[in-house]
Amino acid sequence: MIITVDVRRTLGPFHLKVAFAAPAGITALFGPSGSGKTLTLRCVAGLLRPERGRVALGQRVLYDGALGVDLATRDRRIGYVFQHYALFPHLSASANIGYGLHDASPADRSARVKELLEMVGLADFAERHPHQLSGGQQQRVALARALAPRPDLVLLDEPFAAIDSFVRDHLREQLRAIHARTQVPMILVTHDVADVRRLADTVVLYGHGAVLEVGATDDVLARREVQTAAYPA
Amino acid sequence: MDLAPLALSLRVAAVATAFGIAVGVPLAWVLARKSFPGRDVISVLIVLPMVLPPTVLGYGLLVLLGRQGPVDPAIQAVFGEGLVFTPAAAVVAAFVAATPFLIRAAQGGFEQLDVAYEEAARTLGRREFAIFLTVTAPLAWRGIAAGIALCFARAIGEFGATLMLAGNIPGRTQTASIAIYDAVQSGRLEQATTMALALGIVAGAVLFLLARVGRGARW
Repeated sequence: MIITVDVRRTLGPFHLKVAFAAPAGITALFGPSGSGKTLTLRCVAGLLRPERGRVALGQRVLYDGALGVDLATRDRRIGYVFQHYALFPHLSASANIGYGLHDASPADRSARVKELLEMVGLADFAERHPHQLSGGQQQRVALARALAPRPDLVLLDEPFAAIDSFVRDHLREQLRAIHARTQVPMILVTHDVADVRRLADTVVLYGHGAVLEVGATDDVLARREVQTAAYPA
Repeated sequence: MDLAPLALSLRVAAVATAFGIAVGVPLAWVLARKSFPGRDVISVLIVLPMVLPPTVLGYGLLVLLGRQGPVDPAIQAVFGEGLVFTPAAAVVAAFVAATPFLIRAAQGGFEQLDVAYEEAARTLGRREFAIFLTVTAPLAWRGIAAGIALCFARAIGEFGATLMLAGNIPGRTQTASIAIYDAVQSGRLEQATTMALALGIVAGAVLFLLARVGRGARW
């Protein structure tokens, strides 16, 4: 499945004008803060309406300005791990994970929640509330919550930014393993090149609201490192 | 002691607050979350009853809803009688005077709530009304509860607008605050004192309970 993103949006003085196509797998939107990576995720999820463009998952069109297609966020089947996770503070970890399973029977819901808690290694923390969990645990609950309704795509906004550096590597491996197991395509936003190296199959290089380059991670990084060596800042 | 005015005050305040919740909470959410043309005009109209003297409010309602008012034919058609000098008029007066307090407090509660929670709920496939009940309202509950308490307090103490719209008919539209005024005017000070103390105790008890409920929703 190819993920097509082509969006334009003006927000005050900032112009976002990006287009890229990414294969299934893990795609990193990589670039400095303020280059429009999070805005892109918001457009893909339907939380921000582009002025024009097109967003499609394979043949499924989520947004097309010219055709007047604009699916509501709730109908897009896209999981979203927010930068500060946005876990519901009044609900337990298991209730957070089960929140998107409102159409399932209670038995199916609790089975799915249990499966996800085990997948992210938090089976013993089901009844904890978010404020009783560490940053890394909160991040994993947020990932499990996003995965619960079996979305077609998961978006992750700086998933490791708020994580202590000594557990970051472990969480990257876990994310990689979860991706291998679920096979759900992921787009993650990061400004840390280590996230790109460890996780991304495809990298989309961002700068000033535009895409500078798209390609397989190894190729793009190799080219960029040559450039950086040739033109030291 | 004649308990009828006190009972009427409680009933009027309870019904006015119920209507206040039904109208005020959704309106507060819309004002906190949406921008649309005419938003500022609506905000001003909401604050106006808080700053105007209750007599102006009562007079305005009388002009609008009274015998010669533009709304009177509709009221007659639906209820078979005019609104003025009925217990329902006391509810209308209390509702208009008190609901702005609820809207302001609830709006503050909604504005303080990070929109990311509602956005997260949307990405999880939930509908707006379900999100409001399961995420927004529980997380903004303190602002809403404070608004309900303020609304009830303002409603139970309503005097000026009620007197103008509902009058002072003992046993029918005479609320506690009007009965106290009436008793003082005719020199029945003992009666005024008892009624004032009773009103104070009842209102205090209700507010105390509401504060407990508001705190109870803490996570």
